[in-house]
Amino acid sequence: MTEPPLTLTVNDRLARWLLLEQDEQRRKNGENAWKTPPIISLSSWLRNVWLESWPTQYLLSELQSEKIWEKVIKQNSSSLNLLHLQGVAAQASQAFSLIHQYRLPRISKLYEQTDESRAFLLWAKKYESRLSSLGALDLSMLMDAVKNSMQEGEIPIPHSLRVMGFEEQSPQLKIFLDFLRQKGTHIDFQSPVPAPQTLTEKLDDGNSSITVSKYEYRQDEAAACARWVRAIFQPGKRIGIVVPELEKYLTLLKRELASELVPEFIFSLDEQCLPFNISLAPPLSQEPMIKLALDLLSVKKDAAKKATISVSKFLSIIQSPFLGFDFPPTMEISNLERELRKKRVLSITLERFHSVYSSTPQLNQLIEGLISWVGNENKLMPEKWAELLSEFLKIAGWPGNSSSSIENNKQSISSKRHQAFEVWKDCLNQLCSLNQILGPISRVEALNHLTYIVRNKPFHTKTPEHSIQVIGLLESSGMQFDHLWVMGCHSEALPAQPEPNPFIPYEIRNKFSIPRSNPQRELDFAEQSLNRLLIAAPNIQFSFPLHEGDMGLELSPLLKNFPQSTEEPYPSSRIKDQVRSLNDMEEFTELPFLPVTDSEKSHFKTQGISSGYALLQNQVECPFRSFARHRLNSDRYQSPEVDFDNMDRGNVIHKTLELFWEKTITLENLLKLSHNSLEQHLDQYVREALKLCSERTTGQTQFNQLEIERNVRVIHEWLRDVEMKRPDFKVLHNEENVSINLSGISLTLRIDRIDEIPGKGLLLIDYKTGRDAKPADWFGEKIRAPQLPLYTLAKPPAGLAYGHLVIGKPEFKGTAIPDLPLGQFKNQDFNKTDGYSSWQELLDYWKNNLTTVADEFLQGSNQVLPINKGEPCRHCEFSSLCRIQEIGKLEVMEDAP
Amino acid sequence: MLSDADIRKQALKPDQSFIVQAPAGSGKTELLIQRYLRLLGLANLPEEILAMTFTRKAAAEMKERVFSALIEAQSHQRPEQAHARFTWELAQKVLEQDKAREWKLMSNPARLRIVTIDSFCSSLTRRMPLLSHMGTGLDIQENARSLYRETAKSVLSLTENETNPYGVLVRNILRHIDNSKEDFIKRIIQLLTKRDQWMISFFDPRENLEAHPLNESYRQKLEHTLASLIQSRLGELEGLFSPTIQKNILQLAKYSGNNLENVDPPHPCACLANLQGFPDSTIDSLESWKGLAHLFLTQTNTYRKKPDVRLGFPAGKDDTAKKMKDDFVELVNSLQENPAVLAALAKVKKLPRGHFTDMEWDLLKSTIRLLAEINNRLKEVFSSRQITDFTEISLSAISSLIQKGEDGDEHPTDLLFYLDCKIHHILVDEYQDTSFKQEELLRRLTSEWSEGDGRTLFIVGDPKQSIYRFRDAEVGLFIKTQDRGLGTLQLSSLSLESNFRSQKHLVDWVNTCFQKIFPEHNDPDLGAISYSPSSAVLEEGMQPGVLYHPVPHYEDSQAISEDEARKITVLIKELQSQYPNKSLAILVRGRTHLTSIVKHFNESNVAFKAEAIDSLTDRPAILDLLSLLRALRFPGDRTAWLSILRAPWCGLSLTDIHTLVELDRATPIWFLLNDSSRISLLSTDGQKRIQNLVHNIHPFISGFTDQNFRDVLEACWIKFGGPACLQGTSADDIEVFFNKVEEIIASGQEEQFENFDQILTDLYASPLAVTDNAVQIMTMHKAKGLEFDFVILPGLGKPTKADEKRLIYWMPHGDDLLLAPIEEKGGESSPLYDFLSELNKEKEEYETLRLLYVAATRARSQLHLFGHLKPNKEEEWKPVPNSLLSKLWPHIKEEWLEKLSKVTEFRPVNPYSLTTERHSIQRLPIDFSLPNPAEAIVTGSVIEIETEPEYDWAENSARCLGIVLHRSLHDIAVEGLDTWSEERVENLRNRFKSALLGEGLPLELAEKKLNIGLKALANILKDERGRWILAQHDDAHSEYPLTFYQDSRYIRNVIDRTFVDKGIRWIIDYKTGTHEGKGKNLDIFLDNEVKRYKHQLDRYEMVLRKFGEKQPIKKALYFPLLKAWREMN
Repeated sequence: MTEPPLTLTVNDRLARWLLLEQDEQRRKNGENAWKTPPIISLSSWLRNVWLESWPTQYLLSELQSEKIWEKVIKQNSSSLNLLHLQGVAAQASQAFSLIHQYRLPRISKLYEQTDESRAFLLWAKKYESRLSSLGALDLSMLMDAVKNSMQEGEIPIPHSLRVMGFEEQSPQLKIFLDFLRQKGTHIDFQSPVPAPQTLTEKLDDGNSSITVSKYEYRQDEAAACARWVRAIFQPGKRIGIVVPELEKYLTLLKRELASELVPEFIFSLDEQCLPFNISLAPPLSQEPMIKLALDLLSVKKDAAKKATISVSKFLSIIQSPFLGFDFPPTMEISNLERELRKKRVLSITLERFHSVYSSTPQLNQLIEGLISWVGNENKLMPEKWAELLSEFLKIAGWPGNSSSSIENNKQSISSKRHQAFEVWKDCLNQLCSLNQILGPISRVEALNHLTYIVRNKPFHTKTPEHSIQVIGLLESSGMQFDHLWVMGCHSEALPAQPEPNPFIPYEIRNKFSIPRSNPQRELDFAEQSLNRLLIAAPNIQFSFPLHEGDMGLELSPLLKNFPQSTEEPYPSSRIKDQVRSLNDMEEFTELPFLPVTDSEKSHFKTQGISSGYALLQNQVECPFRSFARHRLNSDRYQSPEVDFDNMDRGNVIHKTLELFWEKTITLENLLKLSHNSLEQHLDQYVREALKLCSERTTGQTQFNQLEIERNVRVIHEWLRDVEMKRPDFKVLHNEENVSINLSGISLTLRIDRIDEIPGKGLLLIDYKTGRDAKPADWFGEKIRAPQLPLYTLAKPPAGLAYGHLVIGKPEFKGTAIPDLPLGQFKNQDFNKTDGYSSWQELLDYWKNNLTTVADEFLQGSNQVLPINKGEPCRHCEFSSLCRIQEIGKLEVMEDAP
Repeated sequence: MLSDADIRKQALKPDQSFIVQAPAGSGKTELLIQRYLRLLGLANLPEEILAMTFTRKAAAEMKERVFSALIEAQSHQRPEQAHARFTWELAQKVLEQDKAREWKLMSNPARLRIVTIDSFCSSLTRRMPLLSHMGTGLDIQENARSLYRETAKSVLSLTENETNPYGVLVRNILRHIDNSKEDFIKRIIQLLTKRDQWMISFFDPRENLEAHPLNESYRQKLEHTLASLIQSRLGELEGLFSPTIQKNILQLAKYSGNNLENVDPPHPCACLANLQGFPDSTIDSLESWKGLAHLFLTQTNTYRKKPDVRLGFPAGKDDTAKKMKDDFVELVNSLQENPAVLAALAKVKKLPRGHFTDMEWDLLKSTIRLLAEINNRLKEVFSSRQITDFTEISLSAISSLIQKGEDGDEHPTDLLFYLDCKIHHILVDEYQDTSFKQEELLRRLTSEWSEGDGRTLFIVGDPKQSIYRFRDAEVGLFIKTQDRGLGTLQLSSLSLESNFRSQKHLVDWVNTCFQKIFPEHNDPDLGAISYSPSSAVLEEGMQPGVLYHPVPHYEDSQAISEDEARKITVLIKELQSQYPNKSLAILVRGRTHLTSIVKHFNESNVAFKAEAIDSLTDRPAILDLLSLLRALRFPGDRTAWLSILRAPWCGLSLTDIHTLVELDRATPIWFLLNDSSRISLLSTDGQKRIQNLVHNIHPFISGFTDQNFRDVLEACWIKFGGPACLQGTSADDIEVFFNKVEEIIASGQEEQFENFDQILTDLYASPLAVTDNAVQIMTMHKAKGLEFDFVILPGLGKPTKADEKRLIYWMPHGDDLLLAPIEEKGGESSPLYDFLSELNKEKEEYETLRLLYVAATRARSQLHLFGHLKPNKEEEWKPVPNSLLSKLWPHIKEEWLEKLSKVTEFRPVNPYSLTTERHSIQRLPIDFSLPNPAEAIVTGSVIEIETEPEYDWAENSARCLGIVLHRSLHDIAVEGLDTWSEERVENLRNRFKSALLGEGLPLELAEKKLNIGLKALANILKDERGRWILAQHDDAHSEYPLTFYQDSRYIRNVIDRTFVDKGIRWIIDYKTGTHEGKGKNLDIFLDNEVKRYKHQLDRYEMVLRKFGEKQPIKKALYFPLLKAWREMN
């Protein structure tokens, strides 16, 4: 067999595709092994011949040049911050390469018109001088450099070349090829774009079928395409799916193809069994394992220079198999999680972690490693950072062992992990390659650069080449298929809107035909590509979606002459659709009562229920709610919004008042306190009370100071305007715990305060620091606020009251026996509003009513019966458990004005 | 007056700028398109004309209509109908121009610059990355709320910053709002969502925000604005009193004042003693006015019936006292003749002083100063995530439209150089919904235009249809532009009045009704728009045009919506059977109004299409998915786990669930499910169900970390049979759910899963039915621009939501700004804040009227109004204040009440008592199993891992050296050993170094490695083994590329070195690793390397065999840096 000629392609994809064709050919010929034919993309070839010539100038990678651009731009334009800079650097670098490719003029007069082009010209000069001081050249100069070296005999001139897939030749390429021809190279330039005549012949010969079809949305289009592939697939047939806006379709199309062509894929998620290739890969940064590494590495210091991490992030780290932790977590970690969630902390200072929480050796090692990683404040070479971060990740156990993964596809998972790691290594190498350019940098800078690299690094899981290919419009150049589907052909994509490089002045853009620079260029490109595609397969299907969001789309006008497809849609093979068509749900009726079991009974009796009033309140609001909370112990983690929320605010006030009244005891004592000493006392008590939240607000001295002022003010106002104006009283108890036995349930209650009104009896007080509480909720058939009424069972009082400690509006309100002296007191007259003839009758009513409620609970009602048209449902966390939406009991909530 | 036809003709004049007021149904889009075509027919480039709309949908529609007009002109005959012919002719002109100028529009409609304002701004910033300071490559987040939250927290964290000046400001504000962190965050988020308002209002975006001069003169400027507004209010009031009445009032006022002056000096009327004359409209008279208001009005703003001593009218039988009292009564009677007086006096009571208190000013300063920092923090958050939002983009675009020259002068940016052509014409649709930001954009775009220079601005809209206040639309701008033009540009004002849409009865009703309820005069600052009637083009149609459907509401009614929904369902069925081909729409104000209607439609099989109406979380299947998501991500979430046990795909009974968890509060459910002794207590059915669940979920719960979580979640859900349990949830809703999951994962903000339920409530379920004649359900806002034969407006009786407190209240007034800081929590209410809030309410009420107008004018044939009334204490039926019904009341009251009285005659007995029925739910049967999946189209090949993966990243510089060494060895072998001497190696120095640098080594390291490398090369040349490897041999190859086929895939190999020596085929792989150890350690290392690479070399052997090698093969590793050699067997 003759040596195949050196073939240079427009891109790597085409090279691989042609290699695959060659391979298939060889195999068909019965060969077992063969010499890999020299088919390679032009850019790789240039790089190879350049390196093989042992040049004195070294070649920069794309990343390296971009980073030089970044540095140059940063030094010359202060207005951009670092992250905005990265995009600008990439575009400037692109403009620079356009200048080389299209031989654009660099006369400064032409660049005067905009800030952008003016700046660019300046940057370009600095960039070039930076290159020469490095003794380097960049990729845009490579072709010219190779040409020069060939001229000087340092690089041998190939005697023949086949060039494939170039829809057009840039001036740079043209000059290069002309030069080779002059030097005697035989060049076989195969343009993928047909001559007009060929195209007409092809369209007229009647053998080809070209149709257009439309779909509602992209999803439908992708699904239809997947079904089509399944229907027409035959081994060996080449099927192409060309997508002009591939990034918009990428995940969608991949998912549809996978679940249609390999329905079982959705359960294994093993990408190796997918029988197609997609040219565009998601960035490595999307890989969960890499995400975790970056998360871990980017733990920051807080204002107090301590390594701090948010609880949610921390929890995800200590449950991550990538660090060798178990998922679902072990009991130990579960308990730790519960503890952290219960404390409602938002973030953890790692240094303090050891002292506060017991932890496993594994956890300790991780945390110690993290502290020292975060604590590194040196400026180091990127290479050093790469080393250090690798060391740290290794200590942390990253990327975990694969033995904990799913048994049935352990192999594929560890293979994927391994591949991701290989690409990650490559990213680290790239980071190292910036040594010379960046010099010593800080940890945060190093991470920024690494993140940038990882975000821009495509992660292709290794799969064999397949005869089904999903590719972008540009990449499809030069490929031939048996069947072709071109997707997303709407009028805004074909032709597309121009998106000119902002650094090239518009006069130059207009004069030289630079890609993406003007509407005419876009139209030419679209027409050219379409013409090319029209001869790329005998069978072509174009499609487009009618909608994107709520916006209507039209078919590309370039396709308007092709007939509508008349093909019936193909059936789906997705498991999802098969399952959906099953409709064998059964009706199932729950028992309305699940009586409390004996063991529960004895538990409720002996262990009791803390905050016992909640049980009754839940029962009143909705029987299911108390069933879920107290029988199923259902509970979910609420992540707090802030580290000091309304609950904390309430607790601090409660605690302060407790401390205060423990000391002060009587009105008399209160009145004896001078203004100053009262303030002093309060200040001291508030400080003491704030310790309740010290873990959540550690280090927040300023905020705590404000909080002290606020609490002193609120309580002072309260004492001055309410308590001091009351007739004589004595505080008997603060935060008093009492157990009440109700129908055999021992309910533990804590009452904020009990006052003795001389000669009259007790006043039960509940402090309210947030929303308005209504004494009306004590009355009626459903007692919505049973806490104080319940308490009367233990301590029959002469009155009940809410103490509203709200800034600007301190007040007492409640209900009491008629002649109880109470001062400024909003009295809800019990016998007027609700018709109880005596106080005793009211107390009896409460007892009976609440006992009934408790009995209901014991009977085990689990019915979904929210009171007040479902008002409690608004803040109920059990809607997924009670299935109220399904039962259809939810009264329209919005009716409450 | 010109007729509509003449006006339309005039509006096409290509050299003149216009603002056209075009009411509902007047064919405004048609006009816009005609003008666009007209201008296009005269243009040099299509890009010279910029047409802007507010939504992507509208832009796409307009583009489509223009393009269809062109296609029509290209392929069809001249139409008969006059207006169609006109459009056709205009389009013909465009085609001629297209041909002459070679635009190729028909193939390239992307050239039509018909865009949204947002996308125009974003294309501007993309083309001016430096000027706009935006850089490039940022993603645009459409809903940046979570980032606003992050920003707010970051601002809050300034509290602890003792020295930072912003720390002081934050603490100051915190103090003011009762030190509530939650409140603070909420307010900051609110500010951020509205920041395009204050960014424009407070700051010139080009200036340094921190440098805002908050000095005394700025304070005076603001106070002046405030005072002038107060004065204009007083002026209105003053005009209401005739000279005689003025005289009478003055007399009584002085009498009261004189009597109170000494007895009760702080009394509001005491100041009246000093009155020299009737108070005028200057700010100094404010106190007197307030005194008067107090004199005549009670607390609840009714006229006082009789004055008493507390008002300075002492009891007494003497003549003066009696006369004064009588005069008072008489005066009040005469005042009552003009109802405007009462309202105006009531307003006076609430007028604030014309200046800030020092505390207010201090707080204002704090807040304004902080705004700058808030903005900076937001930018930080944005850039750390590499995203941005549309507000940021448009603000940047606006600010970059003005450039500072080298001389420091400002001049407009020449867009020619950015947009590749000058903009000659701008057309703006829906201008009534323009915001300050957008107006500023237009102003700057046209700042150098002047009349007659060939550039024109064309603005179309209907101020009566301005309903996007919540999105910063400021209807006053329309009026102002009509009156004063835009910037320096004057626009001719035109108005259309024909209504081509609705039948005459409807148009008449709308005219009379809205004439009555719209304000009488325009007031741009208040957003008050007076009504201008339309004239019907269509004949009378259905009678009546508007039907009223009152719904009574009693105290014990369970749910008004239920009643209404039932009635609406009946009506719909009736209309559908009577008019099967007519379109029907239900328009609502808020989404929440619809739950019961949707429910009733479902029950009665009424086909409907509800767009963006019900929240995803109303669907049980979505809630189940949410539980699954939580269970997989947060294994400790008990509620989530219990919920999935009860979800239809597991279907455990409550009894079994209870048995499973009885008396256990702490053990994660996952552990309980795997606890066989627990499980054995369950019913057989329950045991089986749990077995299935555990079996199905196990692979997913532990396996998801490596995969895209969205895919894992979906797979797990399918495995359970989730798609068989949709229960009325559409497959599209499920997609919406998964798309959101995917979005979160892609954005890397996975912490959002903690509050995923909240995120879901903002997502809307997709339309369920697609039947042609389905009833369309949508919000009034969405219905704008659409039309239907029948329109039904339910829920008109419901009240609307109150305004939230803001950290700072700002409101443009004239060309200035009204400002008020938030009132202190728990402190006295701030008259200033209340005043602005009151103004805001007024604006909001006008907006509500317009919303009603929009809704009512959607109908072609008939309009149906539904609403409920409550009887008040006097048994009088009245709409809830603040409801839409109360707005319509002046017009519909009598007829409505009459209808109502018919309905209320038969009061139904309350039918909705809650029963204690047993509840049943749906679930999959116990023997449910997944269908067998279809075969894969090909059985794939698996790439095996060749060696146990090693997770280690080797030293970089060694790797670089390795690469270069390989290259050298290849060259030596190819060129021949004899051409290589030690000297030649030494001469390679520079190039070798350059190669190392090319691999990315820093200079020092490159030099170090260079020496190692060269030494190694020299050594190899001296080493016998090395020389043997590199020497000429039979059939020798270096970097030998071979391919073979195995296990249905092609495997490519590149062999470092291979040759035949003495009848043996050698395969040699270079390993450039180094090792510190010596002796035994080194041996161990080398042996390990052999093990590690055995598989690779075996593969080389295989490929050579396949390629036809018959001779015996030996394989070896060569370590040039260690001068070591290991043969393999």
